[in-house]
Amino acid sequence: MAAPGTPARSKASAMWLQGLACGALLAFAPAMALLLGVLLAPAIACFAADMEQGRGATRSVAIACVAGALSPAWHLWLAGNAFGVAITLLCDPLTLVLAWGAGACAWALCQVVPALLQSLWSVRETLRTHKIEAEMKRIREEWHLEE
Amino acid sequence: MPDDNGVVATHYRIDPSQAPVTLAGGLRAFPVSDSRDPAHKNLIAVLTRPELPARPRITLARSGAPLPHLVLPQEYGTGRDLSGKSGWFIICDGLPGPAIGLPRTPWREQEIIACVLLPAAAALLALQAGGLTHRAINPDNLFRAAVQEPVTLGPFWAAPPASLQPALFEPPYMARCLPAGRGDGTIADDVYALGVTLLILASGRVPLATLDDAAILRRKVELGSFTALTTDMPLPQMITDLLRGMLAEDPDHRPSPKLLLNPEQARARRIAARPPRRAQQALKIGDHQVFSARELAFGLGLQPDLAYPLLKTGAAEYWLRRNLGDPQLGMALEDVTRKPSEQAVPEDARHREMMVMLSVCAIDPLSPLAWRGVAVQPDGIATALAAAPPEAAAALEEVVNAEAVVPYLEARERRPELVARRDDARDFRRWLGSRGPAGGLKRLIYGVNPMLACTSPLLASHIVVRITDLLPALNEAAAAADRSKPPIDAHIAAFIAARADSTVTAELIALKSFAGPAERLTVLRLFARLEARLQPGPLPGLAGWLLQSGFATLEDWRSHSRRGELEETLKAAAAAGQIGAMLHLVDDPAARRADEAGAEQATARLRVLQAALDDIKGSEARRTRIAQTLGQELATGAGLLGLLGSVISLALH
Repeated sequence: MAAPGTPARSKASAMWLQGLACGALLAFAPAMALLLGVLLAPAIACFAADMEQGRGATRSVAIACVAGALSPAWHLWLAGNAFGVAITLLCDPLTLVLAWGAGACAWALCQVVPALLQSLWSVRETLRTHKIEAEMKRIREEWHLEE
Repeated sequence: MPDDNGVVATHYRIDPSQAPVTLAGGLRAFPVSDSRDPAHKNLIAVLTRPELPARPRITLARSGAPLPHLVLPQEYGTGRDLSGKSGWFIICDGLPGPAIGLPRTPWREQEIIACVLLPAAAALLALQAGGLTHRAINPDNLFRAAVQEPVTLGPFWAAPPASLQPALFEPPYMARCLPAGRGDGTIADDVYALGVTLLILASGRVPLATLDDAAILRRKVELGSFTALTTDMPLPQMITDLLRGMLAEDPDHRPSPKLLLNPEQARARRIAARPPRRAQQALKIGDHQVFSARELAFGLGLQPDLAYPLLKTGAAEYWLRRNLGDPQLGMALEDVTRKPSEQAVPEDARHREMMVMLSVCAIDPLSPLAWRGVAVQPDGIATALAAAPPEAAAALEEVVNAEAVVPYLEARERRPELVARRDDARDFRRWLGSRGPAGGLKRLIYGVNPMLACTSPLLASHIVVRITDLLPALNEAAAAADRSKPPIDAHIAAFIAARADSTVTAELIALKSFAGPAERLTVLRLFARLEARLQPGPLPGLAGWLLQSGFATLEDWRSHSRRGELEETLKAAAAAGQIGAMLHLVDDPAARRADEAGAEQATARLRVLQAALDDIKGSEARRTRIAQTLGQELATGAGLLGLLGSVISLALH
């Protein structure tokens, strides 16, 4: 059992608060909840799939999706959180493309950038390794040193 | 290589038009001319035998003053005969004519005295004055130009004293010894040999000619020399009278050379020597029966295994007292056999041999040092060691180890001057006890025989007597040698240890083998020092041999490139025959230290590089994590920028 104030307790509290916020949103603004639920679906899916510590990819995808969903959510808010407006917005392909595209781009960046960096670094380290090994071979031959 | 066949001792060339002369004992002499003085043609070069070293005291002295009726050495050195066979030659004046040899008819008394006795006595007197002996007088070694001319005593310095003399010409106590172990003896021993020579000339035949040396010796011991040799020999009275003195058993009873210069006085001299007692009943030693004290001493010394029981049980002492009737001799023997032993193990072999040796000495004070049946004179041990067969050499080794010469000399009160040999005995034992390849028996043999040639098989046919000849000989021998094997062996090591000065040999004496790298470097250093000391000139053969056999090696040099450079220089130095330069390359402490320091730096650098390599291999996971973080941060940054853009856009609308 975790002691009071420990990270496990804080995490549980955060989950509880998040649940409370979601419940409140469903209770007082169900149209907004629907819109955000659909537009932030990539972030939710990423959250479910991302098992890495810190969930860095989920965070990136969520921020990107939020950036894409901010404008429709604002229009829904101005329209009085009506279900019809929410449905209309969700039926607009541009709205979905913007929100989900932003999430997809963020996810792609999280996958492509590390691969590119690793490739570059690998080439660099291979060259460096060859150089070191050549020097070691030369020294061993010059001084008759065992490997 | 220049054709040096026929060149001996550097300056002398063998005359191919004249046949070599065979001297007494089978030695050969070659007529030679001096290249520095071609007019001086009457010279000969006597070829010595490698196993019989020349007499150093006479050969090395090379006295410039001629002595009457004697041939003395002038120079010596290595050389080759006309067939190319190398040897050690001693140059001397040519002989006046052929050897007188064995006469076909008896010589007249006057001719014997005028042509042989007087010149020989004069020569012996001159030798005696110089503290020398001849020890090679016999008819084959007396030379004269023509009939009625006085004889000249032939070469006597080309072999150990009396080593080439038949037993007939030696008194029993000398004939009993190993031929090379008879020692310098005294001038009285020369008088004895001269007496036998006079006997042969006067009678016209050789006494006891049908007997071998052992039988002649036994006959002399049994009957006494004079009786054994002159019985049934037709001799003039004058010669008989002279021979009675000259062939006396006791050297003190023989006439001196000075007395022999006046034959009338010499024949008239009578030393009242008591005839030896003879027992009525013989004492048996094995198969032999002895009747006198001298025979007993001879028999005991000859058969030590049978002698010890006779001495230990008191049988010999009883026989001396009861049968021979000589209680004084019995008492002397008792003193030896009953003496409390100083040995830790009284019954061991050394104790038994010591008792037999001292007993023989007590019974016959003239007898030589007898050990395990081998007899030598104390001053002949050195030369005997050089020429003795293996069994006799083993007995002589025991004599040296036991320092038997000391008790032998103490027991012989007749020769107090020989007590000086005590120091020699200690030196001999010390050399014999020295370890390593440069020690032991070989060290002893080369140390005590300064004129003995080195018998190393590495030298092939080259004769090396002086240390100065060693390096040139090895240099020439290198051409036909197996260069994978070391250019040094125990013979050469012992030879160098004995002949070179101690500053050169100190490290060599401490060596245990030639196997290790340190030992090989020591050998290279030794040759380099010899080269520096003796200045023999370039030695490409020996230098190449040292290089190829691994004695001049850079294998333990750490730096490959530096070693390659040094190897080229080393090969160049070897080709130039400069062993000192090779040593400088191989044994350069400063360069070695720099090499070791370089190796240590290289090892440290390797460690650094290996750590860098390990770091590269170990950083892959870290790099992956960083790449992922960077990707996520980049995506987050882009999202935040999008978010900011959306907020600004909403604010503006």
